[in-house]
Amino acid sequence: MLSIKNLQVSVDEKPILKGLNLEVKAGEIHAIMGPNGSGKSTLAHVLSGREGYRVDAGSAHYKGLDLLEMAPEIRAREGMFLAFQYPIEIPGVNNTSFLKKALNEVRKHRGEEELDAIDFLSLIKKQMNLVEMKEDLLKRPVNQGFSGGEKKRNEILQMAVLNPTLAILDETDSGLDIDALRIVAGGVNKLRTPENAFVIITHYQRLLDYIVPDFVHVLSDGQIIKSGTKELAYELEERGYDWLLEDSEKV
Amino acid sequence: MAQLTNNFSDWLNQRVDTESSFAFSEAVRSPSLSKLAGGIFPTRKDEEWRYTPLGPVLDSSPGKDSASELDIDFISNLKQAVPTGHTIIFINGDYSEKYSDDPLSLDDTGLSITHLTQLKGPALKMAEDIIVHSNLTDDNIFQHISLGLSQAGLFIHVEKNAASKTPIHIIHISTAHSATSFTNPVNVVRLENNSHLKIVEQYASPGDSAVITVPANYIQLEDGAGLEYYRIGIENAETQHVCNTSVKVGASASFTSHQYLLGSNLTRSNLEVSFSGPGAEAVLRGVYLGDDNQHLDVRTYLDHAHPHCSSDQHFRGILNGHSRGVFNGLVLVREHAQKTDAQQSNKNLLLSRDARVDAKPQLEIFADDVKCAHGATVGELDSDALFYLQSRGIDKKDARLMLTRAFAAEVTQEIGIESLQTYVKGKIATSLDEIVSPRV
Amino acid sequence: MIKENNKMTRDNDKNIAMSDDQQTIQNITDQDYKYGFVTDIEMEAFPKGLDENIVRMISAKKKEPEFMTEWRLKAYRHWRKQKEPKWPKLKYSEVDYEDLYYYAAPKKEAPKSLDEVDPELLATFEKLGVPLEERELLAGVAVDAVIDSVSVATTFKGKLGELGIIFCPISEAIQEHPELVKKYLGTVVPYTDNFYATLNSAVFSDGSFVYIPPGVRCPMELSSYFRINASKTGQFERTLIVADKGSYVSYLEGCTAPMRDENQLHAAVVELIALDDAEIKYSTVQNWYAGNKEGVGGIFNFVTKRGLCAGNNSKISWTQVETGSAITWKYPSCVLKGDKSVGEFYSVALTNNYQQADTGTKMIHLGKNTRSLIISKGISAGKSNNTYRGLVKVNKKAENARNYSQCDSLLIGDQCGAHTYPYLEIENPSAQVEHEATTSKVSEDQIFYLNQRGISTEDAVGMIVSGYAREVFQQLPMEFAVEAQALMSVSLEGSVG
Repeated sequence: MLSIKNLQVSVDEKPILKGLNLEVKAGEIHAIMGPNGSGKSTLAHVLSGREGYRVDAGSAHYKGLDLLEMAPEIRAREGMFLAFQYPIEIPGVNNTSFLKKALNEVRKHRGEEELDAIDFLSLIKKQMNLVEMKEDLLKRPVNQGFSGGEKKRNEILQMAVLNPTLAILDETDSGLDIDALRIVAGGVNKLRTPENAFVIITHYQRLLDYIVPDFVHVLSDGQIIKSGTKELAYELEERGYDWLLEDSEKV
Repeated sequence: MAQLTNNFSDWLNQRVDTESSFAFSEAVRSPSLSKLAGGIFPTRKDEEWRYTPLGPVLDSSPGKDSASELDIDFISNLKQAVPTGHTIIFINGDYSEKYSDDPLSLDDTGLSITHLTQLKGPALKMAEDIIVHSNLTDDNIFQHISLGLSQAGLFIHVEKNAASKTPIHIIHISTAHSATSFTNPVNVVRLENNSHLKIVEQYASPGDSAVITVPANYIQLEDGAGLEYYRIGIENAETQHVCNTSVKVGASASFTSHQYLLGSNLTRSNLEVSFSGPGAEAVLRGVYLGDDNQHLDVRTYLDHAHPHCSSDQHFRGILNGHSRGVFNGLVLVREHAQKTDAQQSNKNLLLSRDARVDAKPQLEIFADDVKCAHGATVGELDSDALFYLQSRGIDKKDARLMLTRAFAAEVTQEIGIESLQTYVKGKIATSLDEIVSPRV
Repeated sequence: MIKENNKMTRDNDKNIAMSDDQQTIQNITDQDYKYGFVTDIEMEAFPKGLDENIVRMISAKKKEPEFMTEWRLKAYRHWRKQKEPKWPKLKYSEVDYEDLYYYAAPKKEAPKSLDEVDPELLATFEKLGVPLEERELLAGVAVDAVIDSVSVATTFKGKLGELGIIFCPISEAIQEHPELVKKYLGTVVPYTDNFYATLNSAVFSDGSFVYIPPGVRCPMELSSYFRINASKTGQFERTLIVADKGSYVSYLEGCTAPMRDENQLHAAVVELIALDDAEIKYSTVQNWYAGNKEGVGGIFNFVTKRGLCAGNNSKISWTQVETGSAITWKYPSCVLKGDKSVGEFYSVALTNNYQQADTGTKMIHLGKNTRSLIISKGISAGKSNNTYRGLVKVNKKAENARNYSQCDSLLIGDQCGAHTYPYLEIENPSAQVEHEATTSKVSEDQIFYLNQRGISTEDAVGMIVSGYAREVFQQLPMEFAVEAQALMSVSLEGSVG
């Protein structure tokens, strides 16, 4: 589904990703862990098409398409979803009408019929239960006046509504208390199918107590220096990143 | 600075002799006429006109033209803004009995609406007293046009404790075939103690003939009164519109004003509000949306002369094409006006390479125990928000449109008449659909 | 020739900003002591009033080359056609330009004098927490001292010369480096700029000149110290600083004047030019005599300061602490011509009693990716009026310009005024310009809270005000920051119950 080969990316002339390789297949959950500054968020941003990043070498293909050539909205319509680390507040844009517009764009792209207001509302109400979100948040402007936890739940709600094939969760666990974390993770687990895949970017192992990954990768200085199963995450939790960094330097 | 001869001034002075049935008494008119005879119009060397050239007004010499027949659909479309309102329509400055609601149908105890030309005796005195004690300064030449030459307008009077249920919907329509048409309506509004009213004033000029509109409003709110006053200008690209509004807000009274400048070649809207007692409040809102060569200028002057008053201003500009927006707002807090709370915010979006905005938010503070703040911003759409919308599958053009509409909606959502809110939002959306396209 | 009795000029002179181990200045001060209070300083001055002759005399006195005389005369003729500007927020009695001396200097053979250190002056410094002895210890500052329009001493010349840095009186630069002066003088502030700058161009007699060669980082703070001493004398100094490619300089300016019950005119011009990758930091602590509590006397400070970021990646930063003068009228500005150039303006303006300050900045964005920052902190006390007036202009071709302005006012007491007049003129849609301003007061609750913790009211106000202005003080070189903070407390004396 997602195939990243030797991806090299720089920001303001400074190399951040230095030859990253990653293969994600349908039905899989991959966790990417790593210390601060290792390039985790850069990876999420480059995959979703944010400006300000220069791809120096390598490739990223999604469902066989050249991801790096696609506009961000086309990536989204093809079923790629980024849950933002810092969801953007958009004053004046109503949360419901925003989400309806987004969903219908995606449906149009898939050749499905656009939902009318009634069908949309019943869908959204169903999905809101999934993330235990209060209904009045729908009436407010996108993310404005939301608490940190509400913003993250709003991200998962959008994911549930848009039903992506590949979801990238960028530090979705940061700033969440344990209840919110459980709700967010529960949402992801319910959305999991053999047809879709998740890439979970996180600094800590605790999210992985709730979402069990098939693979864990350690990103350091722009490269994946170690891959393994969920046991690797526990090991990281116990021993920190340093032992791994030292190991990799020895190699 | 004097600009001594111009077509417009000559034409105005001729009008003094050729016309009759003026709205006000000689006592009010004659000082204004002598000002007009002096013919001194401001130039850009005057600080208050620094960003707005008056050329398009001063070069014109309006003619006398018969009104063209109006499309009934056009009028019903205008009425749609406030279907529950009592509509009063003026066409080229003249009251239109044909299109206005039947005056007898207005059933609101304590509310009376009289044509200025029909005012006599104590009622005329009452209206003229409000004018004489207004905030507008003597060097404001456009108010002298209103006082000296106006032939039409309304005196709206609400008796104390009366709360009017029906919004008054005043529509000014200018039409002409060939010559430049000219109107200068005046409204005088008095709300006695604890009375309440909503007024919606709309300006429209269908067709493409040139129009000059110089309206004035003199508003007096007495203690505890409340007025919501909406002003919507959707005029053609040949319209020059220079208006003055003076509002006196009594103790514990509340004044809310919304202005939407959505059309015209040139609009200069001057709104001067002063508090005449403690505990009063003023809320000023507005959006100016410009395209092509439009020039839209909002000036506000807020005079806090009494303690414990609050004012809150929020104006937003969206400028496309070669248009130019001006916000020139001043908050004056006089000595002894302690516990004043004055907020002023002006935000501007530039949508095209040739648009321009000039902002001059000003504070003049002479009391120390006050909360005053102002802010002004100019910029493009937020690129993070654009990306966020795109990452959810919305294409760039639509995302820009959504954000631009939202930018205006932060003001329009406060419109207190639901139908009017829908109407204004719709007008803004239509204009934006036409103008928002990705900047490459 | 006039004679000036020094007794009349002593009083409570607040002598600022002298420094360290400069022998020259020390000697002068010592000499002064020798003569004591009763000695007259013999002054040489041209007759009162201004005409072409006076302009020629000033130029001749300075042994200037022909091009300078001509430039001055052009300025003079232009000035004659000008009208003095009227400012809506400034009220003052008119200056009689024919009743001023346009040139006054200590006579050559007479002892040069910086100041007399009388007990009151010492007490003032004690209050400031900056005893003179301590100032002498301050190292690393080179000083050019200007009294009544004439540069009396410049220190560290030799050491700076080794690096190719020129730091000298501008009168000397005109004679010794005419090519540099000719190339840059009047390029940022042309002689036609405004009434006061035009007058200055015609009659300036001295000031400082700085040239930093390419790639040189000036190893010490350069400083000029301006003082008006003689009576009925206008002071018109002119400063020109050129930072060549890749160079850096930090420049400090201090000003004082004696107490007099007449108003005196100070109309200076400062021009800064930063070429590619160069940076100029210009700091001012202005403490001209402010007039007495009734508003009598004090300096009219009408100053034109402007910097040109001529080169790419250049940076000019203005920091000012304005506590003195009866009237201050100045807008240190930046013309951001080079791509990616940066302009900054940090200001604290404090007014008390009947002082009036109308100050701010202009940030003119011309190049691409230019940035500017404005931090202005006004403090009004007594019956004073304090105005921020600023312009942010983004020209049509200035892509991606960024500006942020924060202009706050603090009011102490209910008799004063605080005004904010920002002008934003934006002609490019890629600009992001943001202006914010707030007004606050020193509240009785705050003072009481500090009182309750054992702090005196005077100290409490000082603390609150310093906290409020901290962002700006942080921009000052350390020794100046200490002095500026102390100066604020002194200036605020008597402003709170």
